[in-house]
Amino acid sequence: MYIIQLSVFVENRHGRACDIMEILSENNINILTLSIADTTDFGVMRLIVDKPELAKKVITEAGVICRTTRVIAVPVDHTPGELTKLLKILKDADLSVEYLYAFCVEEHSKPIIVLRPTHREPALKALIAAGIEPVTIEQE
Amino acid sequence: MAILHPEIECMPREELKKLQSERLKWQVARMYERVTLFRKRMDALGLKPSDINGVEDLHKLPFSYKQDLRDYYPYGLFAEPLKDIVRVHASSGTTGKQIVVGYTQKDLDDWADGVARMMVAIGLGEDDFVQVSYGYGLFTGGLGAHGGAEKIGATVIPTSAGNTQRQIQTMVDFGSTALCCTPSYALYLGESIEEMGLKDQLSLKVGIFGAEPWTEDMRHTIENKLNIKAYDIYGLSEIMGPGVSYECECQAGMHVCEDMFIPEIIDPDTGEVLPEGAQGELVFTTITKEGFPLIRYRTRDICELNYEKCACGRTHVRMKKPQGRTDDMLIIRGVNVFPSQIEEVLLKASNGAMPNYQIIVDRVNNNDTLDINVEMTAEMFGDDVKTLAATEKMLENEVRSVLGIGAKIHLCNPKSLPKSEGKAKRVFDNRKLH
Repeated sequence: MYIIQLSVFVENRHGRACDIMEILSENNINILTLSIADTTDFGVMRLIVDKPELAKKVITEAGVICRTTRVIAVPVDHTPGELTKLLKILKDADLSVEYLYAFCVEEHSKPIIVLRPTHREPALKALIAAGIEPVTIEQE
Repeated sequence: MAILHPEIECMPREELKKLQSERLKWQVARMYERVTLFRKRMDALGLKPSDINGVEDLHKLPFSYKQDLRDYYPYGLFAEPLKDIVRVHASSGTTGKQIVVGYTQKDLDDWADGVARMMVAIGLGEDDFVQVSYGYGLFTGGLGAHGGAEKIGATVIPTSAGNTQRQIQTMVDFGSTALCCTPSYALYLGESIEEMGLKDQLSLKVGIFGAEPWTEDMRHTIENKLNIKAYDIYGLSEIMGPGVSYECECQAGMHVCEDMFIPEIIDPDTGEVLPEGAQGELVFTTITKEGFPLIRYRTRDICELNYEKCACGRTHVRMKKPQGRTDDMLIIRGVNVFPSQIEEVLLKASNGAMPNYQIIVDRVNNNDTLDINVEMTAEMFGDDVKTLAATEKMLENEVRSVLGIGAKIHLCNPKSLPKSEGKAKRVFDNRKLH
């Protein structure tokens, strides 16, 4: 019911994001999507990759702090109001969203929203109860 | 220029030596009786107060150290009953705990007298308005300058530090003729005054600046920006506070108030007294202080002494601006900071697993900056920004509460900082102060 997200600590230093990309490409890891949360001092890069465990291993070996987390991925129609509908379900269940971002993959015709609610299990329940089925994707 | 006490300040050196000898004998005798640590150290050397016949025997006496103030915290080194101590001040220790010093009423009078000598030397008097923008409180700067200004009958404007806009408005409206603060704050004030276009509304004549190292270049910049003469003052809480030594109108070194404090220059490694004019560690013996006297206190300041008579007529020895430190103490925004204090904070915050760290001090727009890079552990990292920001904030608060000044914490990746093994440098002071 979840997909694996990799979160990487990125120091606010010239070329840092590039360094991390290099590690991934050298290990033939493909990125499905990423988003960066930034502050003045550092950022946290969140990635959905095809091989999260391998990515975690090689990034850690390179001396960069990272970890994997489970996030909810929900397909939505590519029309206005779809995200509203989704968020309203969580709002009505008294749940909040820490962050969200979206991506597309070929096997799914619809865009996929990645979201990290404040409370994962209740959020999942609320979504399923509203008839929304989270997706999984192929990850090693 | 005037001299407050010509009979003392211009005393022939032979006479001064006699006065110092008498006072030294008095101090050694009473401290031997009253200060346990001093007596123990004397006994260990097989010395009795009667072995000290004058300043020529000073070199026989045991040294005292900053660590002593920590070991005998808070009142273990006081030489008068606490009922006669009328004030205490405090300063940074080498760890989280501060050090405490105490003053009798006579000590406060002597202290004010030292500062007053300087104020008279640079032309201040009862018609002047002295704005004291040093911090008031446990720090000796504010009340030290305050006491001297009152002693000469000037009008004191006790603004304390901070709130620059109001400082400047006060300076203009109240007609301040003298400014006392740290040199970096003087520069900052100068720049703000330029920006506000108020330079021609100032009545300032002179500035008395100390509590942190500054260069001749800074002096010229301050003098230009504020349209004043800038004078250097030196002191440390352990000995008295500001006014242990000061520049006269000749600005050729700082006169030590030698009727109260005997300076020596020693080799910091061997403890040997070095010949006149040599560079070494500055050591002070307080020969009039009642409440908190110290014999041969190791200041850790690297300095030189000049015994030649000054053109101003004063005979009291002149010390150079300190040229550095024999320990790792930093002076940041006028506050003494020991890297070990920061280390203690990090150790406590990380539950004993000491993270690798780096301390970077710089001066940006005449303001000292303190940045601390701290390596994170994997456990500290969630996938959200909030937790990391909260960790940074927590460390910043802890550092502020221990040091009394703010620092910027930067979390960084494990093993990204040079290892601390061997002689790896943890402290980078990028200011050019000497």
